[in-house]
Amino acid sequence: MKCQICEQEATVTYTKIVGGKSQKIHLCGLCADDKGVTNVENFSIADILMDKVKSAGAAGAAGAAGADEVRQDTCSDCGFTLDDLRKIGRLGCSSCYEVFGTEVQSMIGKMHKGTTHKGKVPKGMLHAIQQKEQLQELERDFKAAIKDEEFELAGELKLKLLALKELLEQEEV
Amino acid sequence: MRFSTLVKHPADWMTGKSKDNSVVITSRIRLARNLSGVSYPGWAKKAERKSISDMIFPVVKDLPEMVKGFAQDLSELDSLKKQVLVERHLISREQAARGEGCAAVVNRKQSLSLMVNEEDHLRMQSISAGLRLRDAYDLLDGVDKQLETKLNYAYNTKLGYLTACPTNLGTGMRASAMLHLPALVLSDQIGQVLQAVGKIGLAVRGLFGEGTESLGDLFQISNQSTLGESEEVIISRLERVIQQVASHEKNARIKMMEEEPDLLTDKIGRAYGQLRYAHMFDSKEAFTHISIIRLGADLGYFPEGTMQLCDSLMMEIQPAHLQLYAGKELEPEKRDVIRAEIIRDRLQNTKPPANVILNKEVTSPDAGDELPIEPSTE
Repeated sequence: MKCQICEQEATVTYTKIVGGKSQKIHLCGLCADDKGVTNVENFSIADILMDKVKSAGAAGAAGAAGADEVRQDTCSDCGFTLDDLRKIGRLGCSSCYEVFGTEVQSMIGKMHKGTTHKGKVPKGMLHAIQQKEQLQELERDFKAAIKDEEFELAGELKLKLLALKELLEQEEV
Repeated sequence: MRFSTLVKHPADWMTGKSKDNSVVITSRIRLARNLSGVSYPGWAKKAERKSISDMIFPVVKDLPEMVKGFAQDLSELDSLKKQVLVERHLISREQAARGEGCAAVVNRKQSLSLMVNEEDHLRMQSISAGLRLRDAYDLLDGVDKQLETKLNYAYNTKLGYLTACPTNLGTGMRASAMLHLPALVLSDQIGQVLQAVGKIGLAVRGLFGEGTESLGDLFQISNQSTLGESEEVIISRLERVIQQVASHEKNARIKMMEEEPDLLTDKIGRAYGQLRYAHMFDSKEAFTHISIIRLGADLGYFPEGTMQLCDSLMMEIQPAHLQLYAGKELEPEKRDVIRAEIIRDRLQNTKPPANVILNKEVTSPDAGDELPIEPSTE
């Protein structure tokens, strides 16, 4: 059995009875300690965790079904949830900014003078970042085209995508 | 450099006699940076936090700027020593509360300090005497440019540098200045001035930033917004506003000398008398009197060097510094006795204030009156 947070070997199983049905989560010793599950007085933490693992599973399942429209509420990189964001106002990792983009956008307006960065750009990163963003945009458009059954457009986009990917690979070499 | 060496030496900004820092004591720039693909320190598990520190700490320690500096894993420092670093503005209060996987690196001059795994993976700060935000920025920018080639920064073209808290997105830069504003406080103008500063979207805080009260008429002014403007634009605005506040303070000082010389001389004399002869001081009272001596030093009541003496004194009498001086932990009441002892000792060679009003010509500097200060409605 693998830990449901970090996928190491699980050594702790937490069981909770809800309405006569038992729910189980499996954790490795490290994650269990870290989330405070091993402390018997900490039932509330375990409850939160239970919800978190559940919602992570739900988001994963939704993604697998290709239903991109379903609002993702857990960051697959770090396990941070939308609830966590609302509770503490901070994020879990840099990928969270993509996962919770809409939520973050609504926060930014009140905090800052603008919504787009106008300052320093790390050296050598500008070109790479623009290409990466271009790639993401093409992939998004491609999926949308398939969904709308615009196969001609999808074909064109696919060609562009392949060309850009090839270019990126060459540059990496 | 060992902790004991660091504590023995004052920071560069405290000894900068040639710089005018009578009103703007220090300028500081802070940059927040994070690594891509790993959890932020507040969310990372202990093991991940340690591995992040292992990536950043050696790189930071080996910067040419940090040669012979102070580099320390914070879990190896006791809480008193960490508090001393906080009082020196070298690490944040938040950083002091953290343990394993956190580190700090400070250069020899104590003008640069870099914190690993604070709220963000890397927080770097530079501090210089007087109003020199640009110098402070250039110094830090140089460090940042070396680090960006060695560390994989989390950055996105739209949101800039990605940070744990969205309040730091974009430039990740907080620029601030510490101001000594006793004349604006004494003449009851401080409320209006600070209100005006707040209206332009800048933040005013106490000695240790967010959530701390003002002691000794010291105020910190900083930018709040970090996204949507370049570093240059943010620094320019801040510099302009700070210059205006400083010139209000200078005018208020001159006005006091012209219009109420007896009251001013009396205040300075009383502050001196109490500091020289009292047996117990809590922080607040000590700061209040030292603030007045510092004002007197600027106006010529005391010999040269007295202002620097006040600046070091304000550091030495803080709880952790004085417990380090005493060599043991002390109850607050006992601290008050030691505090008075340190003050008496440092001031023993400072002669009573000269009555400068009788023989000094007073001239007003040009006032830059752009701040929209409204008359008090209270």
